[in-house]
Amino acid sequence: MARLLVACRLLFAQPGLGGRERVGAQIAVAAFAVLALYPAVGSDYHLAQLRDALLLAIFALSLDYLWGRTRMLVMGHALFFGIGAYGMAIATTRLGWPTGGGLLLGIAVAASVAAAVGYFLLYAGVRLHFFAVLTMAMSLIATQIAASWSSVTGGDVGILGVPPIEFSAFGLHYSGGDGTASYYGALFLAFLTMLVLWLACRAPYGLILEAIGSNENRARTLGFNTARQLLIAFTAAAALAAFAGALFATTAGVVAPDLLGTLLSTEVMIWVAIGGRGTFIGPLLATLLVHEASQTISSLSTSLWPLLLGALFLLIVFALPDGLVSLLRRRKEA
Amino acid sequence: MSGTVVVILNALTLISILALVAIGLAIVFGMMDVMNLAHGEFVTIGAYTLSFVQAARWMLPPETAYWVALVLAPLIGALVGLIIEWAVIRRLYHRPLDTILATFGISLILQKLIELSFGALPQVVVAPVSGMVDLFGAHYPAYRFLIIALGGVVIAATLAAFRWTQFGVDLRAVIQNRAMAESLGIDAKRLTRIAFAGGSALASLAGVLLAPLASVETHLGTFYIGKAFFVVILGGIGSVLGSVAGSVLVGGAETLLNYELDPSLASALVLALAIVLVRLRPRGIVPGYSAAHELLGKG
Repeated sequence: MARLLVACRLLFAQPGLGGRERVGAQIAVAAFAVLALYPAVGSDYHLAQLRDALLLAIFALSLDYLWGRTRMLVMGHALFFGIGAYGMAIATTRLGWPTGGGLLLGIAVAASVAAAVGYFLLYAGVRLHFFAVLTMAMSLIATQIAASWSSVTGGDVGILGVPPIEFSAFGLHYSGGDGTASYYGALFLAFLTMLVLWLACRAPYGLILEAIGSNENRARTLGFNTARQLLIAFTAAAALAAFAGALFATTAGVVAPDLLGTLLSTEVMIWVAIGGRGTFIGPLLATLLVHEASQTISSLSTSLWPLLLGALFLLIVFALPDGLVSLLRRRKEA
Repeated sequence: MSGTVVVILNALTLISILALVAIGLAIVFGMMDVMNLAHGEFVTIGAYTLSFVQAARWMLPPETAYWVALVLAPLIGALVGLIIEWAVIRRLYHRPLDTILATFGISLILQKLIELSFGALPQVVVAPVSGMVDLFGAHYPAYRFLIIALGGVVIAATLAAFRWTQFGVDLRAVIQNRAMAESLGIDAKRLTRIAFAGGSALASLAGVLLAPLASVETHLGTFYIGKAFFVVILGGIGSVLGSVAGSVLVGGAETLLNYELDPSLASALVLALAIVLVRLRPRGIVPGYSAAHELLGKG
């Protein structure tokens, strides 16, 4: 019981709002208002595209939580997104489960994979670039398995006909098949995820993660079980990514091996890095903008976008280590 | 009997190629904590050099052109390696995570540049020797014998250079303790540059060797970089012998599993094996580095 109380204090004790956080909160509120009004002016096509981007933003937030706070980079994060999507697709089309069951299946599988792999690697002291590369290898191999195990995953074609989410609560009926309703659903979940992560990370819990991120040896000397904290964070991030993936499968209606693969893993790193690691609102907005840009550029030429992604990585490393948010911040301080 | 010989020879082919790719990665990682994600692109560059030289002809038959490419590819690989080291990597010492992002960006750019200049279709390459050779009752392609022989010679030469030359001693000193080596008058930056170019050359050589067996396309390097990372992690960072030992383990396990299982499932099992072994031996089979290089971040 006492331990539970300590855990609650770790998560819920909130400090006052700092000046920099106030700017972030203002941006978040303004963005939410604009996005909430968007269905009044946007076409159906753009609405669907923005809804997909909002679900991808949840995915980006899960990486930001890990990479931004603990500095633990996962280069194959799409692995967990894809597991969530495949879990949903296999449960609903092959097993005949309802969408809620598919959601749980995807999250449970992704969290178990992360917990198992994380146990072996994180407790062995594997960190930073090593960890990043091993997760990339995992996503590569998962893509190969999804492409070759056609009796379950549908092979290269993937699985078609994933049903949209529908449920009734408090006398209201939600239908994911309806464009506007699913847009608001995605908008609500994306901002809710951001709010929860932001609140958790500005509470003492977030300080522990940051202590580990800035100097793990020091954090361990102060008495924190750093490997366990990292394992919990990694598993939670994987579960959140799978949650986003499962929702994405229901709105897209299809899953294919590229949901597990390198390109999506690469893009999610770009979204987080451009938005500014650890800021939550930055990666969320960057996902919306960059996803929109990638759709436009890909429609012109398919090989141009990966080329630009490569250049973006170099740009981020050499010119914008803290993302676009840092530009904003620098101007305020100047 | 002949079946066993074929399995062993298949494993040896994979092991020679893996070791050639992994050595450069292991040394560069050991020297400067840099994980070069663009390393796989050197394999691709080697394979494309071969297809380019064979297609260009220069009045040579493709079999003779192969030998030209075998000499040319490591030179091109070394040159590209030098350019990347000079333009990007030397600016990012002490920023390992940023190096990984930057080299990943370079890898994407190189892949797409190769695709834009050569097209997305697989390239045609020809092996310099054809036909089969009989050994211990086994019927085996002559070209694979060539891979094993050439790969073996180059790996042995690298091992010997690492072990017995002044250059090798200096390299090992830098890997074990960079600051101490520098204070003894070793120019660590120059050595790093040479090692980077050398590793790139070895990977390009591997690219030429494996091209006739593989489908030469822009993603070629991606398949090998993943395996090479398992090799380095299992074998030990900064150690040539470790890379060879890791290659034996990964190449051997994968060849054996390929007979029983689907190839993608076999790679998944090898990955699982690597992850479990890392827990048991975090520093690899033959650790080449000192306590200064922890797998932990340096904060």
